[in-house]
Amino acid sequence: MSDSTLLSTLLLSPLISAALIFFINMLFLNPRQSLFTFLALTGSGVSAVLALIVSYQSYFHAQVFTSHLFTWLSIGEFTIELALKADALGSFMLLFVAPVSFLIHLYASGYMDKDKSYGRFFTYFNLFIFFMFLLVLADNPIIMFIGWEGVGLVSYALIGFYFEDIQNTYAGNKAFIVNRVGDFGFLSALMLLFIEAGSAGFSFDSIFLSLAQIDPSMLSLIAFLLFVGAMGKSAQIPLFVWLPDAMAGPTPVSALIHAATMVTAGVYMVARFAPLYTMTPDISLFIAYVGAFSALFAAIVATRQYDIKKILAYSTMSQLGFMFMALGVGAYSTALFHMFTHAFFKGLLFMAAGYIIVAFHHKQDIRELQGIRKSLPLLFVMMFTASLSISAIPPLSAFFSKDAIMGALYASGHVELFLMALVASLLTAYYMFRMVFVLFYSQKTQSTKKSSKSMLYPMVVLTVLSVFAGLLNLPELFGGNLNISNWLNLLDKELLLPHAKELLLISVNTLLILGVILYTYKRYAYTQAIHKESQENLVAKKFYVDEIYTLLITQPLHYLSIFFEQKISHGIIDRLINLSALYYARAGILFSYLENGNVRFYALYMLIGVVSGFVYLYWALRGVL
Amino acid sequence: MSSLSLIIFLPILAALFLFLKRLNITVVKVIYMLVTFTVLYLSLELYINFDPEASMQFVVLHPWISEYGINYHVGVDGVSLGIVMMNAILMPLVAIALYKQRDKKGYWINLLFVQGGVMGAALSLDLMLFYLFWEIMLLPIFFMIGLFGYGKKNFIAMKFNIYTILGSLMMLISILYIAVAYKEQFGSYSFALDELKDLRLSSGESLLVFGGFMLAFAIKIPIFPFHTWLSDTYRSAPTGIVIVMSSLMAKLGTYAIWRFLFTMFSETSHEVAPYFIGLGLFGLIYFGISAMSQTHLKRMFALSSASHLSLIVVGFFIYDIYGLIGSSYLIVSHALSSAAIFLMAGMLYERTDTYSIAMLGGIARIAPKFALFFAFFSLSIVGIPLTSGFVAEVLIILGAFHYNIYVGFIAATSILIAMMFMFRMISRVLYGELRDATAGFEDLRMHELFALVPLALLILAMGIFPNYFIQKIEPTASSYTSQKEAPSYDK
Repeated sequence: MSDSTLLSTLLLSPLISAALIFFINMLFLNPRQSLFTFLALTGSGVSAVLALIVSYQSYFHAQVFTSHLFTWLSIGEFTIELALKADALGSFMLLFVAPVSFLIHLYASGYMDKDKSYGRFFTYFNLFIFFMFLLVLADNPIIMFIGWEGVGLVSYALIGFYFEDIQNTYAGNKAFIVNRVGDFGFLSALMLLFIEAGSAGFSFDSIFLSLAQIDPSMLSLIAFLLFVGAMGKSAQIPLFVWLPDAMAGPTPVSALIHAATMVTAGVYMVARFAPLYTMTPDISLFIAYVGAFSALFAAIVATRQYDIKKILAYSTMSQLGFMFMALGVGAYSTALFHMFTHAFFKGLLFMAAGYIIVAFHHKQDIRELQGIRKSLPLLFVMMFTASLSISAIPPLSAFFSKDAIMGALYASGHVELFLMALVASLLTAYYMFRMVFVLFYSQKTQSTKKSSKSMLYPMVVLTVLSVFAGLLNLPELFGGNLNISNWLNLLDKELLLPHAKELLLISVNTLLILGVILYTYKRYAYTQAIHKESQENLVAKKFYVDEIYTLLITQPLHYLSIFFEQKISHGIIDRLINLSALYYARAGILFSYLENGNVRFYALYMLIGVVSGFVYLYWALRGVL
Repeated sequence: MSSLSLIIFLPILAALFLFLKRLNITVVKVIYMLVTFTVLYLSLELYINFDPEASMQFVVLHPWISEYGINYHVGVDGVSLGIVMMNAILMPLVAIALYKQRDKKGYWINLLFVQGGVMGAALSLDLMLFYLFWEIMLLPIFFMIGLFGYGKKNFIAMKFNIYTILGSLMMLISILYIAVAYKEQFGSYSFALDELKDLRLSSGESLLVFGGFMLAFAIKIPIFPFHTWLSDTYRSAPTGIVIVMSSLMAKLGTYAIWRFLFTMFSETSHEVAPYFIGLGLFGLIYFGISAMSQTHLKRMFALSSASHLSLIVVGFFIYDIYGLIGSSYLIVSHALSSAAIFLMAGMLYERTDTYSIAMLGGIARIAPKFALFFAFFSLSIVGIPLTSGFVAEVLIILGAFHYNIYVGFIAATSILIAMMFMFRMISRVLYGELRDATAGFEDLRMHELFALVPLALLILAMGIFPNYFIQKIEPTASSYTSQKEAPSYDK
């Protein structure tokens, strides 16, 4: 198979399987569920295998795969090729997106078992991978934008998957609308970028070559607008409000789209535009601050959540904040590496949550799920491991990725960012272990008999990965040489600390986290502390952000709409038009008084006419006479 | 007879024939199908033979009232080709979707008549001829609303007609004025577009004449503040005629601005462009926000159409190749989407007897095909990727940014405007609990699928392979924008 067909197959196989499932689901009355499973797993499996080949070739032989499908649009200078390119960054994305997608497909085949909309689910799910690959592999930003909007669209459809409850579809609407506010920025940025630098072609490489000609203030504007897109997709302040609501979708959706892949697209995009962001330090710093505030905010809110999926959703937002902090200080590959490990442990956590939810009759409140360790021992081990990993306990994967971020923040000299990250990281340990201790360490016991092998196997694989994936990018301190950072070869800033300082930082950090876990154990394990928490304070109410948005945006728009339609369109304009017709009729009545058929009046009109004629003649001829 | 003349007169003659002969309704429907499919075939032939490298082609010129310079002069270029194709594609599909419901002969005869009128107006290169067809379109609409409409149909039909005729009369005066002015300068009357562009008028005169034309077009499109007839008329009109009005007639108004005003009054158009860009952008947002609080499905779609039409006007007045191609593309794309969505609104009404959004719900539970298509067409109006609307909006936004960065930002809100009401509407109509009106909702029937599937495929094809379609428009557009580059343009 040639390189270009390989890449095209990688992209198209999920699309083809989505199309097949769609048609079978539409045309046949009672299709067999196993057929759908087969098609869906083949579609995502083929692309996962090919993705591993591509990343293997890229890592070991520095091979760049390209494929040109067709010319999408060509008007004057605006030429957009539908071309794919898997460079180091693209291959790195494939390396985790494709296999994780496959694993979650496998998991979903168990989770969605016997659902009446099984076919519809996998149509969307496979379509999602297609758009995600398009986003990652696109060689120019317009095609990337299509993939970007496409994943948002599928996400909308999947959040509202159980449309029988209209609230679920409202959550989907919210996700799409908030995302599109971000896309507004993204698209505007692309248009400006094209006008400023598109004359030599609009592929990423040619854009980066012409960046130097752009006026610095315009460049900052473009960088800012691009980041607005990332804020929407990656749920950062102020466009994060959709992510917690997005948990209305089936749990595999939360695992795949709202934890492992789609929400990280913003991070990928900023990394992709690294050449642009290195030229705009102000905007980069802004990104770091947005990331820091988001990380802290989400971590604080997560400490008072009870819905197991919402805790994880805020946790995702918080971890994404960490990635943006790293991007902002110029540690691009560090951010990407955290995204890589995050995909495994957060995917695992969501799958575990889904497993619990299925096992216990769709209960999601941790207060109602206390004491499930006896019935789900394996799950307990996996969830405990993942929680240790996300809390950055050595030597689990997130320890290496998160610690690298902390180190980079410290080395960048922005102490305030470092401190915010530290607090957020301690809170991470707190809210994760609050959840774990409430769920698994309780006097109560609940039992269940349900279990599904196809759900369990992918989780085992991800557990292994969450433990060991960190070794791929081992820093020098531990005898590694940052293999992944070297492979990605992005424009990373040199942010090195002396080894002694780094070691000190790590030790203090780890000790603090262990301390927090111990405190959480004291507070929540085998106690009723969870039931005594206040529901009324600012944190429990999520800082009233949703209410503020409703008050400031949704309601004013609604009133404005009524004002426009009833007061202006009908009250003023239409009324004037109808009145003018009325006065036209009135004028007719006036004239009908004159035209009354009475001979005396006509004689009078004649007299007036004749007199006026004479007056006029006199006036016209007065010079002659 | 040339194919252009056939395309114009076959439907009109067929309509007259059917009107005079008192035939059985089945025969009327068969003849309607035969005629519209012949027109479709001829138009497809036209599309295939259309040479993308040339601009105006298939020109037919017959002397008509030659002593006054009025000739039968028709031709097609890349932009009018789009409208011709839409007209040819939509008319048979509308009939396929509706043929069971409508058993009144007048319905079909009027639709045929409109088809011919729209074709004629889109292809005319002579002002008198254009005026004739422009007015011909109006009659069937008047009758259709009066005979087959809903609500206060008589009042609304009358208001709509007087309003549009007022505009048309201003246009007639302008046409006569420039013909006379042409005689003063060149010694003979002329109504031919390619001759009239040599006419020199003082700036005051040309502004007045421009205003006369513009009033007619602005009412028909409609541009703010001439829109108040719109939502009531759309609400009252039967499905067939709503589709004609939103997909063809309104688009014809924007097309006429480009075809006639930009050709004849190039300088004046440039001078007034900023005002119309402003009005267009205002309309885009105003209509979009107005639509948010609508409770009546057709009124919401009516305002949604108006919002997109304002964007088309913006694209034309931007005077730039991206804006022009984007607007031409949006004309076609929005014609497809809005025709489909109004068709589906009609099907919805036929099944539930209501257009009220609050009384609908839960349709997706029992009618998955209907829900799929309804959601798809609604989303295609929002302009999601892989649909034609996305391509068109991106191009217009690009043109707008090219024109001016602030204009660009406001134009870019078009990706936000439609979704503010569309998503909520989709949720409330399709999802949630079943209501009394929607209980026992019947899924799409075979003939309805036959009408909707081609529209959906075309929307997708135009969104996935836009280059194939745009190659037919691009030379027309680029030849036009390069020769019409005015000094006042670059600010």
